[in-house]
Amino acid sequence: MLFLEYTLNGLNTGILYGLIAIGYTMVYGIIQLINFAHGEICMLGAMVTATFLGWAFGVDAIAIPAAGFVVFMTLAALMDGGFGILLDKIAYKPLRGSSRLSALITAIGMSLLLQNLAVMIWGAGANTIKVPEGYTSTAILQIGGRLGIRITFFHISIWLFTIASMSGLYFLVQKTRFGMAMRATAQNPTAASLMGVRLDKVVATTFFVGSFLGAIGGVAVAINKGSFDYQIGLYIGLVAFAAAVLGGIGSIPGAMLGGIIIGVVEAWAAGYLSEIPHPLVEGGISTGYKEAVGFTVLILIILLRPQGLLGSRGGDRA
Amino acid sequence: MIRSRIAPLVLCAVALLTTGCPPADGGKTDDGDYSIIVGGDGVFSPDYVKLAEGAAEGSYIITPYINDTSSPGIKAFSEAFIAEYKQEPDAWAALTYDAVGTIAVAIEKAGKPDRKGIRDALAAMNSKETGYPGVTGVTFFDKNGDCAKPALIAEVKGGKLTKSATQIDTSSAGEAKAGGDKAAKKAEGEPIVIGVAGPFTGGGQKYGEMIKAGAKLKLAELNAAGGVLGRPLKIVWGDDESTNSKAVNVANDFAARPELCAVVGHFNSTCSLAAKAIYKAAEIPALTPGSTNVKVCEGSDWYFRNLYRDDFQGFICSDFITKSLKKKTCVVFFDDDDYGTGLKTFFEQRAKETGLEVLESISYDKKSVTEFTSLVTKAKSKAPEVIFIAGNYKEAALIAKACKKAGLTK
Amino acid sequence: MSTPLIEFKGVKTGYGQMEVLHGIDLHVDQGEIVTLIGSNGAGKTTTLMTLSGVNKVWEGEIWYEGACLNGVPPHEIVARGICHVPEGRQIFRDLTVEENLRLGAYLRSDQAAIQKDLEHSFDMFPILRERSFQLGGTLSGGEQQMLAIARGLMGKPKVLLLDEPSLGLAPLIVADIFETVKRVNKEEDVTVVLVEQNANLALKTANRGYVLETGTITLSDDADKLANNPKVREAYLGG
Repeated sequence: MLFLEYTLNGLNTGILYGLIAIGYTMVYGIIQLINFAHGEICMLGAMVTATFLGWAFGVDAIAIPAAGFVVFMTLAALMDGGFGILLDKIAYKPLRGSSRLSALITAIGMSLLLQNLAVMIWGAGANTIKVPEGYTSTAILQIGGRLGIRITFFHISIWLFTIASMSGLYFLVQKTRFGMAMRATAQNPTAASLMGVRLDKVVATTFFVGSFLGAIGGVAVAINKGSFDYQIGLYIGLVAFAAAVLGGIGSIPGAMLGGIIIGVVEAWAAGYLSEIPHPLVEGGISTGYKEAVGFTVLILIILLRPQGLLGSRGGDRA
Repeated sequence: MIRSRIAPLVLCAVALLTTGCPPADGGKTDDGDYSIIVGGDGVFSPDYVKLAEGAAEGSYIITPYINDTSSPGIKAFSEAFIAEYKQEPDAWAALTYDAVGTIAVAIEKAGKPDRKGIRDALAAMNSKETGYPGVTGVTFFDKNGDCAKPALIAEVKGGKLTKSATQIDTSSAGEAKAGGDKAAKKAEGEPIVIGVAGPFTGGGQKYGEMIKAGAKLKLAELNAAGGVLGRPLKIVWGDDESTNSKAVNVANDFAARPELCAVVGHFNSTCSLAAKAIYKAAEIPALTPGSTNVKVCEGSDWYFRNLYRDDFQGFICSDFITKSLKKKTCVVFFDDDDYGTGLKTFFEQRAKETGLEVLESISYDKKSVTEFTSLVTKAKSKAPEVIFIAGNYKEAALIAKACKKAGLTK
Repeated sequence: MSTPLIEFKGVKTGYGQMEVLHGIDLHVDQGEIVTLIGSNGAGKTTTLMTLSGVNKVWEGEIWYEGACLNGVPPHEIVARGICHVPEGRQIFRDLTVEENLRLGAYLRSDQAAIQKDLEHSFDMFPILRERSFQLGGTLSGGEQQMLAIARGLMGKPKVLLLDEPSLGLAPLIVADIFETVKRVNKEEDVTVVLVEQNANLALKTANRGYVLETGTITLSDDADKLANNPKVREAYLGG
């Protein structure tokens, strides 16, 4: 029972890592860039959502209407999609065709820049996202008494959103003409442009979709955690990036799978690390290492399967 | 992919079918009472209440100071503070206010802004009579540089930090009158410079904000009353962001300023421990208004504090749970840093002596923890009567929120 | 003589710091098959890449249908009817054969006509019909080349740029492919610019030819005259 609850906890955080990891994996798939500023894009999504909700319902509002919450979060996520495109236009597009290293360093620079920008606008203190009454606390389903497993509107809404967005992405990428162009660009951008595919449009769409999902992921992570600040993108981004690598960078289902694996492993670590006896410390291994366990799993899997779980070996691009 | 989606789908369907099932609430259930949150003094901050958004209600927090305006000394300070900053002072604002005052007195006693002279003057404040009477009680030091001050219990009530009806120790705070009644002279000449270090940004920003406010208020009062030794007092700020490495940078920067004669800070124990060797080597006296780890003043004649230590705090926390709340079981959440582990160790030591059963001690790393759900699930599985938190207000607020979501607390 | 369909006027370009084309002049008339021959590294592929907009023109101008193409992005050039079948086939290995073909018609929106052309491609290369749901990467070299050409034709181009279509293929398949090129040129009035190592074959297929040597055009003439030119025979046709 407890095991099931840990697993469920892990699944809940894992799909959020997955949603954010999609942004890394899609951008990497198209332009072979590790967009280190993606975590900050997610952070901006959460910040803008919090700001919109603050404007609309007052900073001290305890509970807000559900419709308003959805509308403003969507609005913020759309805006964040725009930030993603802007980030590409300002920082990465001028470097297209130059070495991967310079683009990577620019990405790290943008990450720091966006963090500092966020401090200037929103300050360095902790922030919260207002949610509708009972959204995260009222149990829709309670298994095993008051202290048993509790499933709330929040959980159901992130599951539904994840299923919907994964299906939507599958449809976009596999079934539409534009998705075909995206896949073609990922494989061979020169040949794709010779077919009349506009690289800029594909890249912009990629940034938009990744940032939109990242914003929703960022908001959900902030709600799940309880509060957030300008640094939330840093750690979440790192975990999501690890998830993308674990699942096979470039693969969208891989990103989700990687996110879920890391989330579940972390949750198990939180639950069971202290059961493992420590030679020196009474009370077993510290649960403070739960995040480290997720990365250990990453390293082990990458050692065995360097291309990641669902990644393809090598590439057709020299 | 597909398979992993089926499970939640089934659960969703089940959930939608059973929406009629009532949310579990209403005090007592089969699982016994709701748990009570007790926090160490790191939790004492208005932002704990704010960030926890209602989940903090009913928590008890140990603190060296409560803004209890029924005491006349505190009233004047509180009114001046609220007039300036539009919010109530917390313990850290009050302790910093007193620390700046203590340093000012030490400078007066030394007769000149000389590092060695100030240290000697501080060391000479070794009894209640020779100590500094401030809003947090009388500050005086033992030969270690430690300070004996009482601990109070605050309760979150109606979204505010109030003095709890249940106290464990009588307080002498606020007995003394704050500030001097010296005739206002104009402070003239070269300013006397002291450093104030704290977490002005980063995860402990609210502490920093309060520290800055308390120091500035005292500074303004001192300078309006003729300054120190007839010269204006000036503060340079050092932001340690609650991290060891930044604390070392700040200490080195302070040490490199020859005009700087004393430091108020650092706040976090882990920062104090990292910086104290630098102050010792540079022979700068430092007075911390917040570090409670037992080792902070150990081995240095130059480091002082104006509040109790964690051995005392841990003792009080444990006794509060067993004697005042009359509870027998608890789960401890502790921050993996010097403050959290230190406080937890002394708490557990006292718990063992008094028969308080610590069901589980759960550590977390505040730099990387993404959420507390699974850690709280672990706590929940032990069904404790009390949840004791040895950490900072920000993570404490997240734990309180997660406990409420999990149905552990009301 | 009317204005040519395509005209290079003193075009210079290159990669990075290195100039590859040192100012070339050439023209292609409507309905022609024109071939560029030359040894490896002479700049033949670069010439095509510059025409299709992948490479930027450094100096000089490229004119097409009475408009200057300098600075026009590749997708826009495709839209104007120039279709480039790149060297090394460059099909999309992880897309199915049918998806590859449909991508060739990416800029067209006439679904019915695309479907018809798809059938037409399959008629032209029946093996592709058999393999239509296979991934491009699983095809043999010859099949990939057929796919690349069929994909190029799916765009309904006015001009087809073919880069080394015979590379690495068995002679029988090569003959087949060049037959197709001629047929497309005649039946569908597609102008063809052909870059080919196999000068013999190229000059048999083309109407006119240019000889490119280290980024400069050294000879230009009708194809049969070039084929009989002693210098060309010695250098490119094996004596």
